[in-house]
Amino acid sequence: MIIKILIIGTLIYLVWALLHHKRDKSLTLPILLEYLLTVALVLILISGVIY
Amino acid sequence: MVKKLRQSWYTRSMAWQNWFIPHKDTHKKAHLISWEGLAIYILIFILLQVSFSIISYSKPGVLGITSSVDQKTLINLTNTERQKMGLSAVSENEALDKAADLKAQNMFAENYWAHFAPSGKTPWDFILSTGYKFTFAGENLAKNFYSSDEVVKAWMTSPTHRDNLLNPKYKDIGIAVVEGILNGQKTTLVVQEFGTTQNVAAKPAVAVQGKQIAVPQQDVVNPPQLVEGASQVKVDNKTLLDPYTASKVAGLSIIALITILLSLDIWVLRKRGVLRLSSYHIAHMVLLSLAAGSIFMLGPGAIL
Repeated sequence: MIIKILIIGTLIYLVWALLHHKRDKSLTLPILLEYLLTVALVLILISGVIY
Repeated sequence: MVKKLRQSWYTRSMAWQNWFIPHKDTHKKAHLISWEGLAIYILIFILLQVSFSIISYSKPGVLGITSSVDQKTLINLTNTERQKMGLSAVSENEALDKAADLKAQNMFAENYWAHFAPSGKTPWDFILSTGYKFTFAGENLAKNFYSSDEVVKAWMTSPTHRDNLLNPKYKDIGIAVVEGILNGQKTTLVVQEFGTTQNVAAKPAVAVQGKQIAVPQQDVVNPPQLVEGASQVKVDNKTLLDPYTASKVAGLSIIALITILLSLDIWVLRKRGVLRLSSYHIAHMVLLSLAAGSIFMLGPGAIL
């Protein structure tokens, strides 16, 4: 249940980030990397705690 | 000379500050919350996990979880849950206790976490080998829980384990709580066996993970002979490090550090009256809070 909520939260975060920066015309590679690495960090931290 | 030294000291101290607060001239994000910083955190956490794997492999038993799960408390809690649903209590059965113990010892000996052993041993092999002639039986497994309450709560949350625990057919119960080394880490295994010798089914069957498996006739006629304690390994009571707690502390520390630095970044830029084209800190903070909450609530225990 907790994992499901986190995965849904992560997807919303990514989709929102892409749409927002695209509309804002501010989607640069460093900004995209920041969002992707934040998601990667969150998923790695969670998987490290579970397994 | 003094001026040069002062200038060099000032440059160095400013470079040090750039790791934590936005650059004073360019207003560039602090290094520790840039994408490079995030990559460093990921690398550090992966290194921590890899070092746990290396330690587990080279020094089995150094890492692990020390638990206080108690066999009698588990039986009482199981009966409390059954009685809440208006079902009869199950009685502790010596043969089922022995079967549960045999199963746990076998899991350590063959190094597996499953209802069926890699060597082909089935859940009913352990029960039949103790001479318990069941018509219907069931098995629940748990590992690495800190307390008995957590084990029963986890079984009650899972629909298939709950169905097993609350099955009205069962009259007897056997539980084993055994410590050993599984995958290089000190592990506490809980094996819960249920059974009845009353005539409730046409053919003997075993309920495992929500499935009812018919026991082959040849297994009933010629039950396997399994010897208790044949491969028992002595485990130290205290492990040096609980990898779960270490990962949890490391994860929460990284999240706390990033959240503090993001807040500091917002505060410093507001104070300077600067608008910077960047990713949104609030969005990062929401996701990190969600992750922190999840890490805080998750436990190392697993059921099967």
